[in-house]
Amino acid sequence: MNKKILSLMLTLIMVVSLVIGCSKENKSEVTESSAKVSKDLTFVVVPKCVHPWFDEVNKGAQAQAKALSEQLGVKVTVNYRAPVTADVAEQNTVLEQAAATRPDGIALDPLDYEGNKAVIEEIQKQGIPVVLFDASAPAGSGLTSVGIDFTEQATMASDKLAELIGEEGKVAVMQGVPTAPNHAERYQAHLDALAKYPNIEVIEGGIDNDSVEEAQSQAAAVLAANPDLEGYLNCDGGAAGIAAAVEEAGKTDQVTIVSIANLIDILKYVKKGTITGTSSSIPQLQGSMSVLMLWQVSIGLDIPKVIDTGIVYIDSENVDEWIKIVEN
Amino acid sequence: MSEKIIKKNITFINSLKKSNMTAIGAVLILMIALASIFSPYFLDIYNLQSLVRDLAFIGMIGIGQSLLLLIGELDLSVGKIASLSGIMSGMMMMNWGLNPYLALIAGLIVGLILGYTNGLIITKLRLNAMVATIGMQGVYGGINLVLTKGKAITGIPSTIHFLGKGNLGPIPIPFVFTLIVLVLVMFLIKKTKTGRYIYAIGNNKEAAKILGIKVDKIRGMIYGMVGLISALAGILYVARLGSAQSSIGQNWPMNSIAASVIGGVALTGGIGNPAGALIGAAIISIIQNMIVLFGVNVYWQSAVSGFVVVIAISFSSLSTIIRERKQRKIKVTKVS
Repeated sequence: MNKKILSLMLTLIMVVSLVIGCSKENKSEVTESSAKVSKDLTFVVVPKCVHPWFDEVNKGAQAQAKALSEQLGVKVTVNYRAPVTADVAEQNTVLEQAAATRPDGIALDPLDYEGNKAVIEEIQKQGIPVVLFDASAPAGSGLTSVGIDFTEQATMASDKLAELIGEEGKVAVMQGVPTAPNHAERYQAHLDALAKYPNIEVIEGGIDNDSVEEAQSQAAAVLAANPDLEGYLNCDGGAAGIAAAVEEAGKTDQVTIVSIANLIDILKYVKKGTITGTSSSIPQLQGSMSVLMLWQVSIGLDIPKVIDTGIVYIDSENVDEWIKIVEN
Repeated sequence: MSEKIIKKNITFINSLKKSNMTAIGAVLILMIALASIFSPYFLDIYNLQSLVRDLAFIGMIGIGQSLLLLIGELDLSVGKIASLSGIMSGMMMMNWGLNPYLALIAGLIVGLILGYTNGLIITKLRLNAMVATIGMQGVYGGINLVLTKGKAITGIPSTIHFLGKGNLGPIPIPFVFTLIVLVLVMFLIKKTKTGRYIYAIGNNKEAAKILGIKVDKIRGMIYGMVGLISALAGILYVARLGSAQSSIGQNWPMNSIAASVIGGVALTGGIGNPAGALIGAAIISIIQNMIVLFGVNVYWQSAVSGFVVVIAISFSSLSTIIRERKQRKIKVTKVS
């Protein structure tokens, strides 16, 4: 009897403690999720390096943070931390320093995924979400990538150039930084796209390492070696150098340039007519969507693995509008 | 009269034999000949003008760098001084509405101040020139980024574009400036006391101090001059592009040192001639030009360029080795 009473009492105590425990767990879950909604959020954007293109990404990220702040009624901050040089070791240091501040998420444009991989995994172990922007997520990484299809971007430029020169003539393709995956992908896409046109002869247009200065000197030599050149394509933000070389050669009426990116100096050459058009990503949208995805992860939502922010072709028709966007 | 001419010719030939620049000059002529034979476009007027315009910038900075090498020092911040001076000029024109020519002069003054600041830091704090200028490169590059956030300053008035894009007859204007810089520097080192002191400092700094030469004053002055020359290159590049770019001059420190060394200026100081730096710059530019003209695969460009630079330096070094061996043989013959 005593034993029965004791076992009943023990069972009762267990049930009560379980109920209390569960209710506490539920309470803490509710508190935690409400904290997720009510606490201030901080996201970090880490680009490849200090560069005007990434400033545009930052613009979009800041605009999204402002919009989220207004919608959620909490303070959403975006810290933009750009490595001074495009160096993997430096970028890893910046990433580690960013993670040390315990942000709610990091958006990264990896210089070299394999070189960044260990640091990214370490950050993820700490429970900090990471999304990539302006880069494809390597297979098996499980990361979300916000950006564009570089092949599509370059193909659009190549096809446009082909159309402009009547699908025949000599076209030079200048490489960017050969080790940069997006530059290499664009270069290959240019070659593949131009291969569709049997009357277009493709020649090497030099290599500019994302430098306007090098682009100009390489383009000058290419123009000298190919007096019959009709078209010029490139893979990075150095098209202003090609345009300057074409102007110096007095061949603005002969050589058609279709470039990549929407940097202000490129847009000014589009306005001038030296560059006919430019196939551009929308960096502002990449920044904006990166922050939006990080916020969604921070409240426990699943996000898509690929977010395509689209490509825009800028020519004399819409260049003024883009100059305004970039200058502001 | 004719004897005098013969003597002068013999003296000239002897000085040519002794000069490191003779070998490197021969390499340059050989390269021009090869390029002319193997590429029908090398002698094209546009190609030559582009080539000369490019080498004007490396040559100009090389002439300045060779002055520092003569005193056994160097400046790795020349590229950043050039871009910062160009950016400052551009900002003065576009943001402050300053007259373009006044803005260019102001840019030169900025370069002079930055160069002299390097000199002051190195001489007053007794710092190693290479380490100090690596640091200052970061400082000037940082200021550059603070001012521009990496963005180009566009819309530079077309009235000054001729300074970078234009020609004086067939000669690109930047190259005319390079020649003016060379003449002034050669006058300094050949016709003034300061020039002799520069060689003395390069050969033995302590001995120069004992002789009463104001070593630190001269070092500071040379750093200021190098800053001024760098700024000149920077603002001419702004005129060439029609925009001020913060990325300009990244390769100028190494190229200017390479141009000087190819031209026979010793890294140890006291040996060489700034004119050699211009020949060195010409060799570097011709290599880069030839690589494109000959259609060398872009992935090979860097390797080929480096390889030819090493060969060019070797020619100069080999001529010195051969001359020294000949002198030793003569001495041994005289003794025996």
